[in-house]
Amino acid sequence: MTGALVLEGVGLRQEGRVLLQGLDLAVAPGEAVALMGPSGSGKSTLLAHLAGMLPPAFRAEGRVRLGERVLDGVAPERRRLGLLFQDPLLFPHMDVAGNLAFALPRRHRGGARTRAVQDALAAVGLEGFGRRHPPSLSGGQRARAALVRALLAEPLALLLDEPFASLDRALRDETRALVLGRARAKGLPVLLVTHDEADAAAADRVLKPFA
Amino acid sequence: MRRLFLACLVALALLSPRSGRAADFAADLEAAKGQTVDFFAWGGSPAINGYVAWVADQVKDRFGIDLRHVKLADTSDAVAQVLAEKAAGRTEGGAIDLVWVNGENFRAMKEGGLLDGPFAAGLPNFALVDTASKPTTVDFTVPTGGYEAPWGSAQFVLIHDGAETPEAPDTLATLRAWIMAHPGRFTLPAPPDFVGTTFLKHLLIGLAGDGLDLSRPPPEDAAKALAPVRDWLEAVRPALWRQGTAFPSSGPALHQLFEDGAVDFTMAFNPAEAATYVEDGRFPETTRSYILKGGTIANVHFVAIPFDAGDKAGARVVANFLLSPEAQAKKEDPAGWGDFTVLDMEKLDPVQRAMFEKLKRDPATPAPEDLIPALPEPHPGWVSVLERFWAEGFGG
Amino acid sequence: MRRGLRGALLLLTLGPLLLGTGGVLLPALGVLPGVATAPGIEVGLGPLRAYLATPHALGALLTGLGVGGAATVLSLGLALLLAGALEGGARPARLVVLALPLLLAVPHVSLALGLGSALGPSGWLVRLASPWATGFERPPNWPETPVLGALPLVLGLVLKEAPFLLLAAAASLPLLDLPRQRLVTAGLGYAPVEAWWKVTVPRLLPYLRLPLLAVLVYGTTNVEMAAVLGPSTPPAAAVLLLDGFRDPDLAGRLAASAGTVVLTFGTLLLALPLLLGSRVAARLGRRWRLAGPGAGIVPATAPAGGTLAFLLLAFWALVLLLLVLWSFAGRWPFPALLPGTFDPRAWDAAGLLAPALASAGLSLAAAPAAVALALWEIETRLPGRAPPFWPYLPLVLPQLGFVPGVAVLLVRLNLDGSPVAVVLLHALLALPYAHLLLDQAGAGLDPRYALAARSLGHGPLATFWRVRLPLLRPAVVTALAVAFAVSCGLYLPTLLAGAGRIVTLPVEAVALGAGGDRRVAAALGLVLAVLPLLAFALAAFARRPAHDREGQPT
Repeated sequence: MTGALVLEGVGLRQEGRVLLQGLDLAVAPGEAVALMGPSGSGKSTLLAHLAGMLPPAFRAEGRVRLGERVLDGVAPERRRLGLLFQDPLLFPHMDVAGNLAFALPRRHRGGARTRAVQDALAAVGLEGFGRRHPPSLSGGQRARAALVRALLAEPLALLLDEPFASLDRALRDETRALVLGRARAKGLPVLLVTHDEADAAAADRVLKPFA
Repeated sequence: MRRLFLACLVALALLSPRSGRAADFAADLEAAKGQTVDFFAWGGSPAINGYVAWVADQVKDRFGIDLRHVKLADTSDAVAQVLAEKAAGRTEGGAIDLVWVNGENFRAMKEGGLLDGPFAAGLPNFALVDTASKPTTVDFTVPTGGYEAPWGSAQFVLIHDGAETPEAPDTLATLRAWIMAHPGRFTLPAPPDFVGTTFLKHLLIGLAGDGLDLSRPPPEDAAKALAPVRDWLEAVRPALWRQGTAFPSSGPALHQLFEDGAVDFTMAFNPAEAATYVEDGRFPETTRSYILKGGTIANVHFVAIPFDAGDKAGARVVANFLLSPEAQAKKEDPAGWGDFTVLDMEKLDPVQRAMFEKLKRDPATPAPEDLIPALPEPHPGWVSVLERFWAEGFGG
Repeated sequence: MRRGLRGALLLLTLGPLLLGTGGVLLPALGVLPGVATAPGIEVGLGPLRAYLATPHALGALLTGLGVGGAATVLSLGLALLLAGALEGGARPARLVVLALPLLLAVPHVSLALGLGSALGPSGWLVRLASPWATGFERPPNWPETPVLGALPLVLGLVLKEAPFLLLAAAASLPLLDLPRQRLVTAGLGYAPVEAWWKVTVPRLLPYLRLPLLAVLVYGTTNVEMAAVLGPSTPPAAAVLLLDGFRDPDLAGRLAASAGTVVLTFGTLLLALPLLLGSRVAARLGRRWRLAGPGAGIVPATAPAGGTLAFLLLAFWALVLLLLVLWSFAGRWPFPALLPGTFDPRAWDAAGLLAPALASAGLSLAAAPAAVALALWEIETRLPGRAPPFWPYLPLVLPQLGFVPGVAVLLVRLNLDGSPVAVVLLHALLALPYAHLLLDQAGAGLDPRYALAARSLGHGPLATFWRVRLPLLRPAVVTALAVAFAVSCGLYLPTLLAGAGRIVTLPVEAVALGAGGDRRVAAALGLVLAVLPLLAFALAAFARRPAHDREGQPT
């Protein structure tokens, strides 16, 4: 059902400075690829480009495909790419259930919506947390809530921007296992940018493409 | 055929605006029903605003007119409004239906073609107006030409506390001596405030008036003619309030100084104004108003209708009501505004006259016989000459 | 789509501004479309010459610019001292913060009326010392000098603008992440007050440029405060210009238009050294800032700020008290400290209800409109772009400089006196305040929230309504209250665009204030303060976010 996330000759530059050039990469369904580079090298910018929200100061080249579908020029909300950041970025004005329901596509209606949210929470051990507000959650709980929020939107690939960096070591391993396990189970291609060696070790492939 | 043609001509003549006043006004009364008349009038006095509110109630009950008092800080704002409408090419539906006006503002509107009319003589109550002894058809020497209808009459008075200053200097010479003997106890509102400008006009009449015909536009060398006025002011200036370095901005601001006890004299262009302040408890009971020995300037204030007024019929009906004996008597009541009537008592019937005779006379208001002689306004051209004279020599 | 939206916005905001400015600029050059040229004034430099030939034109210009400049510098100094004292924990400074909504809500006119009855030879402060200390049985006969005469106006401006700058600073401070910075500076041995002056203030000042410009322009060009508190010899330029605009003679208006242009340029020229001055000060201060912790006089600024905070509050309390007293006063001669008799007549005469309703209705419509315009600009701007300057033009251009032009335009479109036109003009004049507050809040908002929402399948509109707007709620609420207060206090635009048919509280207050009636003016001044005060109270209640934000931007 889902295809590979394919980058063809993707490059990035900022006012003439080349951050990335000619990156060719195909992330197969269920595969996790880690892109490594120091901070400021353009890792997050690449993910923003893939998500369709490249800041105007940058220029991108090349082509991005998801399966047979070309993503370039498609509105961010139509790309069906799930994003996870270092900060969980749960919306602070909504409770946890609200955050999840916000992600759930419209065709789930009425009671089915509530049930889908309940099930998703239960699946990551957050039963009964639906009415809680994000600041009252622990770091690990927030990371899990952010993961299920991204998955509820039914993405066709996951883009992870140092998603575990803010967690302490024990929690980090556990959360990483959870995220990658879920992605593999759903057969999603995963592209992960990081400078953490442990993240890289958990990936199927590691690339260091940044200038 | 020819007869029919003539009949048509006669009918047309009858229907045309000048055919008959009574018929016209009846048509106005009909057309005025349901109109909203925007009356632009200076709103700085609660007593006057209260009177206008009373008028609004009356015209609503009697003629079905909604009168809206748009309170102006300065009447020239209304002139500016009409001017802006004319500049924009508007010929009807203007914001202002009726405006309270006289003097320089009237001249500017009349000369600018900003007024509708002539309409004054068409008002039934105009027949009661005193056109002989009051300047009701001449505004600051400019003939009204029927482009404004008289509303009230006023005369300049000096005001003091009879208990504090028993001697009331009533010539320019004695006033000057008094000021010099009592440093800091006298001042005037700074022109262009009209009360201050009127005080300057009295200096002009009393000190420089002999060689000038003040009913005519000021001569080229008007500034030179003002030398005696300058001398008088320069002489008293160090003895004025705050040593002549600052002046109150308006008549009411000077009243505030008088109330504070900062000065011993104030002045007004309304003989009954002090009485309303006594009534309010702001001036002492012993407050008195008086005029200079040679007389003081009296004038009439008017209402006019802009050329592009949206509700002209309603405006004329209101202007006529303002001239009714009942409205005029109410206006003269010192418990309210206290503004003097423009009607001729001889032209009223006994019932109407009684409405005026029963009014309580306040001791702070001079009796009519103490307001003689009343002097005419100089030509309005003198206003700008005096304003400039003041600004150049004393405003800073 | 985005371009179309921005184009429509520009048309809606810049359109009236440019046409209004043109409606002043053209007459300033002697051209009055639709009307024959004024006799005796030639097209070109004629009006300028006529203005400069007006008695005291230059003196008034100097007074206006001097007052505005002095008030700006002093307001900034006071605001920084207060905020510094706040860092140092001075109690009166905390009270100022508590009172901030009140100080911001009370319109300039009300403050001026109250302060006017406190200062001056027969004012309450002289009464306080008379006759026991001064021997004055009657108000003293002090002469007015140009500098001393301007002091009440400067004081009035500072009392009003220092709290505004404090608010602007408070709105910017979250961007500076002070809690973390405090940890760092404390670890390096800097006391909070010292860290405030050496680290925070230099970081804060760039954020205060626009508020400072607003304060300066208001200071040099406002009419309402200058008319009540200003010197008379010579008056501030704006007062003289308003006289000119009110001149029934066309030539006077042309000259006033030219004078307005001169005053505007003078103000902008004055702004340059202020902006450059902050650079120079930064350079000169560098050595002092880098001299290490524990420097001389800095700790003393906390108690000094505390004392000034106390004085500021005392003046405000006195002003409000005097407004209440005067509105109920019967006879109250010098040197009595309290009215001899009480008389509620001012409250009858004021006819308060109709103008209060007009004010409330107008501003209730104008405030959301201003916030909508501001958000319209912020949300259609390309991410990462610097905020544009044009939303601040209504602050930089004196009202006197474009409002008369807008009024002529409205008359021409047959829209004068239409509530919609007045609401739009009010919204335009409140836009800079709304934009200032919302732009800073928007910039402080993590852009990845929007990215997250978009990647979860929501379009730009849904992302705005369901994520960005709720996250901006505290700022939106503040902006609504401020826009409401700004709109409530507007006199000139209401009078001119409303063609006098829309009678709001300030219109009524200025008309009666022009009559010199301290009592009725005081009553109106009080009611005028109540409306924005209600708005601020509501805002303070609604602003508290239900939950703290999570996740700091990295």
